[in-house]
Amino acid sequence: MEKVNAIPSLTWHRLRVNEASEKGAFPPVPRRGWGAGDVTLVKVPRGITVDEDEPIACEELESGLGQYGDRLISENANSRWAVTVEKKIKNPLIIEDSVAAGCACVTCGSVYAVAGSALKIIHIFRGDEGVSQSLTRIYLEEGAQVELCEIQLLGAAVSRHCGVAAFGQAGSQFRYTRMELGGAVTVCGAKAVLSARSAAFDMACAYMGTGDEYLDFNDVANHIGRETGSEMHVFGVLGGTADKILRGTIDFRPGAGRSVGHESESVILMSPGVRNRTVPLILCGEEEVEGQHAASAGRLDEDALYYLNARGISPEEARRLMIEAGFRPVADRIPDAKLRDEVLEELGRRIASL
Amino acid sequence: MSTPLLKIEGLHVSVDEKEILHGVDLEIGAGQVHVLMGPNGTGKSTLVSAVMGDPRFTVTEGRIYFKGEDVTEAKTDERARMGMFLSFQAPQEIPGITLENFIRTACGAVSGKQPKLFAFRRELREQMARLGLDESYAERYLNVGFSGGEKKKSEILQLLMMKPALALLDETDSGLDVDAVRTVTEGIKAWHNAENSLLIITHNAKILEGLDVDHVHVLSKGLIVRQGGAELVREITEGGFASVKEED
Repeated sequence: MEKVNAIPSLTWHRLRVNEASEKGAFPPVPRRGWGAGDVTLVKVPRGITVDEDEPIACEELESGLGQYGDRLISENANSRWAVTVEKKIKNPLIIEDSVAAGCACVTCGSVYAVAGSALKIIHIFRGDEGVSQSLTRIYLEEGAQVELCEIQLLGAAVSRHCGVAAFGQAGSQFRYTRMELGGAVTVCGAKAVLSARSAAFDMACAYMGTGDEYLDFNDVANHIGRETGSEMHVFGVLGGTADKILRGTIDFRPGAGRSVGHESESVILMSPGVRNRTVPLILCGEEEVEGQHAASAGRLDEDALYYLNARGISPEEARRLMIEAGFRPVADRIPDAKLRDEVLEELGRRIASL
Repeated sequence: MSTPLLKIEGLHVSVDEKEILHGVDLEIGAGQVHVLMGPNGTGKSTLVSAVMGDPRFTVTEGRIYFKGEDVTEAKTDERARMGMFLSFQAPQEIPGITLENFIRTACGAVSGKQPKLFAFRRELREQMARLGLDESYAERYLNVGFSGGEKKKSEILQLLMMKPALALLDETDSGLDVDAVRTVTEGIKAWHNAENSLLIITHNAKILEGLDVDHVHVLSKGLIVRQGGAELVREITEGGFASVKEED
């Protein structure tokens, strides 16, 4: 089996966390391909250019899924989009992928952000059954700012693979938000290469795993330039017999002096049957760097629950509020109020079923 | 004689199998202001926590009556919905829930119906102004990044909005500067009327200025050892707890 979501530096094989397990394997591509995909550019703000072809600079970028996963998605994509942004754009570009029973939506997208430009992108994934795969590659020139917000509202019978690759030149800022609320199999990998001075990567993710869902994440910040910064923070809730691995890597390469990277994960375990594995990794090829990781897993904070109860809020409602509270800082990053409200409503429904 | 709002009978409370309170009796009538004083570690916070139904504390003996009902076995949220309110000494920080949403949810929980948004917002802004809290705090996550004083004001804001029948204030004035204590006292006075009652735990008479104190209780080693009127506060403030002789 080709490796998907492989950790940049291998650990003991017996821990079985070096790459996604067989549960996270890509579904076989039908002999005649995936057929037509259902991708809609819902809102294209004025000022960006929709390109026919993927910019060359994006083609070679590798996501956290790894070369194999990227190639599978890229070669078998049934829908593609590419945009170039040359100035600061206020309104977000909104893209929607839809899947249905027996159908796949395999999307390959790319963004080329010219120096000093800014763009927000919201990518929504919907549908109850089928296959959802996406690869988004982003090239940021000097001082460019790109915000990508991926919202996954898939049903419990969808297989999902999602790769994100970003390459940032000096002073660029890549802000990435990922919310994974469904899917039988969810395999996501994001990699940001901070190639030059002061490039920054800010990632906030939230996920929910229920039933016997499998969730596998591999996020990487490669610090190459001096004074680069990465923030990677994740919140999750696991119930039923859900099985999750999160790999978070901050890689300080030689030359990345005075760079700073922080990563954290907080997981609420709602059932004794869940399997939760977290692999924080900080690689140091440079002395003068600051790298920190933190991870916590457990039940809901009893003191906080008591505080809510002391305000007349029932234990059930307090539990729902606390879980929603964990998602809220991530949801608050969605740059569209209507969509944010829809996500919070859907979140409320899914929390109730935990 | 009318039924007291809160009646505590022979209360024994333990935590981790260690008894902290050894038989406390207390009655608070409607509209009254009671003050609970005593050296550190004597069980003052334990008493109000047990009254509020904190699950970490076990009532091993005695009863708690609220509005004439035995609430000794009632859950914390049930007591709050009946009209009890505890202002915490160390309020929780909860990222992800804004102060406004939290208070609106709490008001809905105790009243049984969700407050109408615009009227609620107007009242919230008015009460925040009364307490000197910038209205931007309404959109901030509950107590996250608040200073110690702001957290205490957030507690009093909840008191003003939720309008309980009984407020248990656990050292609400601790860590507050003189001006903040005065602001908090003004907030408490704005809430207090002939129908609702207060039990204030304090080491500082400043918070009591402008409040008509009806009864003062001194707790020592898990027992109420002295009771009296407002003059007892002055006695303790001037001479310390050593100056207060235990009653036979």
